[in-house]
Amino acid sequence: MKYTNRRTLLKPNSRQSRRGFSLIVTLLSISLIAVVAFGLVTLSGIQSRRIQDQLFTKKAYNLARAGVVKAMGELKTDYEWPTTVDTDAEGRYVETIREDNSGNLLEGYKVEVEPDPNNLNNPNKMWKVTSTGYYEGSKRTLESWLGMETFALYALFFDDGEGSGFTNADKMDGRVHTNRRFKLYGCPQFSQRATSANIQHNTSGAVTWTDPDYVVATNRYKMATGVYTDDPSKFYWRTSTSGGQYGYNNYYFRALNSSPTFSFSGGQPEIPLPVYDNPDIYGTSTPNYFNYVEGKTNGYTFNVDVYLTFNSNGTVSIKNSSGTLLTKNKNNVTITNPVSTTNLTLKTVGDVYLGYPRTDTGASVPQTFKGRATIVAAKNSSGSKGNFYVKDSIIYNDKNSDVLGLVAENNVSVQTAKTQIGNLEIDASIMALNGSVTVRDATSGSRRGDLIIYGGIVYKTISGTENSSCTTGYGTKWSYDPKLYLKPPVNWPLTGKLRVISINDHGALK
Amino acid sequence: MVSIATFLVLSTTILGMVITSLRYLRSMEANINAQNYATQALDYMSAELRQGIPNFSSRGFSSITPSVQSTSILMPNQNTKTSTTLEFNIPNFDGDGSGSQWDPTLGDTILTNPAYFKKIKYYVQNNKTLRRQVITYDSSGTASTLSDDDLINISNSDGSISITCTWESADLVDLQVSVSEGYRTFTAQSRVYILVRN
Repeated sequence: MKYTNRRTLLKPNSRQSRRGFSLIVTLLSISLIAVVAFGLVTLSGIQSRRIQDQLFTKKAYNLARAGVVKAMGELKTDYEWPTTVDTDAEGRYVETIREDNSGNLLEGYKVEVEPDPNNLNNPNKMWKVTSTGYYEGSKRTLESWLGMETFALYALFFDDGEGSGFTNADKMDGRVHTNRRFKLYGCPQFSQRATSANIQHNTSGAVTWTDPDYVVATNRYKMATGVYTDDPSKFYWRTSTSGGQYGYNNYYFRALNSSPTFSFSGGQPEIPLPVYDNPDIYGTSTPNYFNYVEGKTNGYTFNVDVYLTFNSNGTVSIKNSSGTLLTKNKNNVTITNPVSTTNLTLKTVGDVYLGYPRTDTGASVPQTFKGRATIVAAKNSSGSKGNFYVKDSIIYNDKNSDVLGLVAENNVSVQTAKTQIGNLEIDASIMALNGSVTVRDATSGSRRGDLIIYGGIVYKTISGTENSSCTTGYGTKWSYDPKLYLKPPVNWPLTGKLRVISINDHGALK
Repeated sequence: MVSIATFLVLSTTILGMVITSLRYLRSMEANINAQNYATQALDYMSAELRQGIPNFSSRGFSSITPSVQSTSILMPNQNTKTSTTLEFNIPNFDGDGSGSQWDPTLGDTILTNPAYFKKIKYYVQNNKTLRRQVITYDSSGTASTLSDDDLINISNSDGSISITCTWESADLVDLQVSVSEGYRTFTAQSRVYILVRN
């Protein structure tokens, strides 16, 4: 009989020992890996939630912006939007994209509109719009002030430009719009948005002109016979449709100094010029633009032609054709003359002369303008349209603060003699509602110099300031005055569109 | 002996794995933090800049006479197109500090009164801290600092934060934030369009 050693029986063999050790090591390794994996999963989860929160907040922000845009679109045509029909119990317009079973907003926005109490009698209306965007439990509130956009926003605006076009030499450093079409004879350069309507209507809404290449019904543009495009950046006329891709390769818009804010689009909404009888075209009960000078602080109206001299102390001397200071306004009320040019609105039912009386050959004497004023040469009772005649340069005392607006029912006309050599500078925002900016004897005599416009020009039609060979008259050099965006001339005509005056993001840092 | 040696080898290996894993976790966390800081900083700056007043020149309050140019040079601007600070004006929505509360119904006069604006400045201190300074003005343009706070602080001694701002136009600014927490450098970029000129 063979006996087994007792010690051998009790002692685990080496294989058993290694197996136990492996188990421990394996368990330890799994535990460590589990800890590491748990850490990774936790970190990943935190990051996922964080990114999700960011995404939801951004979506809520964009929905809030959509609410502001909605208000801009509605208030343009309905000053009392939203009505009680459109609002919830708290008086807010609600746009619901998704909601939960309890009717809570999961995706959408709510807009509350508070009109300025002065809106009723003020063409320059304002609204406080509070828009809150909602997305999956996140919300973001934007509080904005919306106001009426003025024509001072444009560096160049022309209602009817069929007679003129743009060449390589044209460089515009502000917004440009035409209610007709752009005609390209080269590659002009623009720094900001350029738009064209390509179709015009009268005040009754009837079509008065249509771009022959623009197919309104389908919003397409004729590139060549039988070839159409729906790309609005191609909705313009080229002087030649040959020479590669129907002329578009040779005649096109360029970004001035590679400006990232440049774009061109045709087929955009028409922006009618204000008209004498009903200039506040979108208003309902607001008074005529040219009439609301009366009763305004520092507002003057005259029913004669006036001759102006700007004084360096921030006043303007107003004289009649005899050179006598006017002492009474249109309503025979005694005034103190010269008058201050601080927020001045001056209207004359007739013509306005600047730099007169002076002989034709007399040298131009630059005048310094200081303050903020709008001067209107309006249509008189017999229907004759007012002109603004300029013989002298008008130069701002401080280009960073002074603002001058010149409105002519007809033309703003440069009246220097053709023998008078030298540049002429006009620092002003100019409107010629039924005419243009013209130069007397533009196509005869010698080359006088440059007509330098620092401001913006809005006119009915473009007209030349020189002959075709550029040997007479003035070459035009204009640069947009950017302060007009925020500070237009007093009581400046409105486009009927709305703009954002300020916007307060409640989700931004305070 | 064999068992002990094996145990030591395996233990050392596991310890090495653990240390490596923890290091990897730490670097990953640092990288994620750096990414978060970059996007956070960009969000802070762009959300506030969108409310700003367009910067047509280097001057903040172009309509004011006399000018308060010395207190309101904005960066970047038309002349200095790239800068490492971001300075802009926003309306003083709450009437903070020495200023007055923004209220467009008061008319155009508020545009010429610096009390209705605040200047916001974002800048980096010692390559480690993104700071936000708020300056308010009284009606004569006298500036006073309302706050000057840390916004993002890089804790790692090898880390850094930097901002680069590029003036594209009066209402368009490119922002770039680069952050490192000692490992990789992450950059977030955004092009910010100021909203007040729609």
